[in-house]
Amino acid sequence: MKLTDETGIIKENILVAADTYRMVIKGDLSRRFGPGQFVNLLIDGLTLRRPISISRYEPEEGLYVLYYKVLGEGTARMAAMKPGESIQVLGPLGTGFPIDPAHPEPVLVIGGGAGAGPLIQTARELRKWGYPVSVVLGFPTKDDVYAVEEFRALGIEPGISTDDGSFGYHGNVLELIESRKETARLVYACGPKRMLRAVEERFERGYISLDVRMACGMGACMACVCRDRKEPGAYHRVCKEGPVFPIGRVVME
Amino acid sequence: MSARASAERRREDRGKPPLEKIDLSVRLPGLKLKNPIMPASGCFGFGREFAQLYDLSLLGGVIMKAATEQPRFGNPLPRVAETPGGMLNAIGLQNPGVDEIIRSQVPWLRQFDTCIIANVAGSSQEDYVRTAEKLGNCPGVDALELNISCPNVKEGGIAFGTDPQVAGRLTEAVKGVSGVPVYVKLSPNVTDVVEIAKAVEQGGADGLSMINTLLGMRLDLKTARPVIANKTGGLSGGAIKPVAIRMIYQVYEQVDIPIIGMGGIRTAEDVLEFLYAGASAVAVGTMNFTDPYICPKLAEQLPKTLRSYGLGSVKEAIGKSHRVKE
Repeated sequence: MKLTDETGIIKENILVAADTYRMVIKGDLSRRFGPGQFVNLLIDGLTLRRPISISRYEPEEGLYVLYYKVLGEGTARMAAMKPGESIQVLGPLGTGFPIDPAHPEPVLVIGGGAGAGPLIQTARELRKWGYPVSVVLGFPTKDDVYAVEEFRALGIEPGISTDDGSFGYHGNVLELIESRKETARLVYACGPKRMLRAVEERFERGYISLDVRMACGMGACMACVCRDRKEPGAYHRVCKEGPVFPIGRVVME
Repeated sequence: MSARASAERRREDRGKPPLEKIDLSVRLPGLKLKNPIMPASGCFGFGREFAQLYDLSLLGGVIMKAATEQPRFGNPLPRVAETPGGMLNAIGLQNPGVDEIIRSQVPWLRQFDTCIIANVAGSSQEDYVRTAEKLGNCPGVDALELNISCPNVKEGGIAFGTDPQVAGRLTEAVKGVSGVPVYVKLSPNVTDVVEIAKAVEQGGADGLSMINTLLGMRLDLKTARPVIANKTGGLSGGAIKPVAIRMIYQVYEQVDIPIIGMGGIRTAEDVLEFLYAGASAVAVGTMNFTDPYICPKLAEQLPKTLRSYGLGSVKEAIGKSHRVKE
């Protein structure tokens, strides 16, 4: 698909949980995203753009929503941006979550921390195609919990776990899954590497979305490459063939 | 623009050639460049991704990602990090190998009306020569850029670019097998860049490419570990521009072969500064990540910039700083 570097207008940029923000951007890219894709944002004064996943898009209103966690200089500068300001957005980037419209089946959507956001649109699309969707989200503490209302708006009550037990189930999200006796065999997951490894051990079928440092974001620079798990010498660019991969496809360093 | 501003603009432009008459073309060994702007090796892949954004025929040339004899996977992740005014990278020369590049990338690039420069890397003189022989006789390839300056691989790369004798010998060997002119890409990680430049000129280089990245490092305060998995990486971006300008200026005075200049170019004014220092053409690297349209933008803006400094062509600007009286 053709890429665009569009000038989006920030409509909203607010704190929704500990160090976690929601940015809403108005721009034509809203009509061109698929679930699990991302954009590369130009941030004033920085050399490298910051890749951020698309959490939700509203083509009719021309809006797209990004949830992001402030982890370093780039995201800190993003958090200081104000509604009305413009932002350069390169997209749509990457290969997102594939959905087979012909064979709906029960699906478990698993989010960890900042990985919860990108699953909103994914859950929405899965439901649209008739998949029975359950959602489980894990966070460190109750202060980190976000996106719950987004899933409720889709008619899904997400199960929540916190590492310290301050909200929902006391434990990690994999333990929450065991406690719920989930029967779905197909999973869609996004979260920290540790969680994705556990998901890959527990489930055989489904997709995981990776988060790694990138530069160009479009497949040219080879900054974000992972080896194929089976084929010697074969590799995948997280920004191009990913960030979403089938379970068991790539080696997570 | 207000009426007054446009009147002032007209007054400024009086006596200057019209923009379309500004001559951007440059002729270098093996290269008839329509303009002096090229994406630098390693920041542009083989152009396929950027071709989704603009017509590569707008470029003076394309310098392809480094080719090695065998496919290379490169270094562990993370391979990149932001730095003040730039970035560090330690990709590690990941590439599909020379045969695959000749089979699938060069023929694809040939559809565009632009020069093709193939960057050649290696880990021994023998494999450098075998790779250069293949690419230096590949239809569509107009010149080689001999990469003796990659700081991110254990063997080869920079080891060939820090010893004048080794650099000279390798240049001579590669010249012996290449059917097209050879530009040697120099490392800034040396005490005396002029010495290396002279050695490769002696070895028969048709031109120089300078500079490659500066060896750097960043530490993560939370983990106390290097941010880049390879520990060290190559520093690039605006922060290194003064180093590049200084080295090109010094080398221009001491060698007779043309220089392709690179290192932190972000604006058309930067391009002009490189030309003044002695570059005959330029390559843009890191800025492609900040603004993927930067190369065609610079090609478009350069005529105006040249004219605003009273120049009618790129040729007039090359080495200008060496001709002004003190």
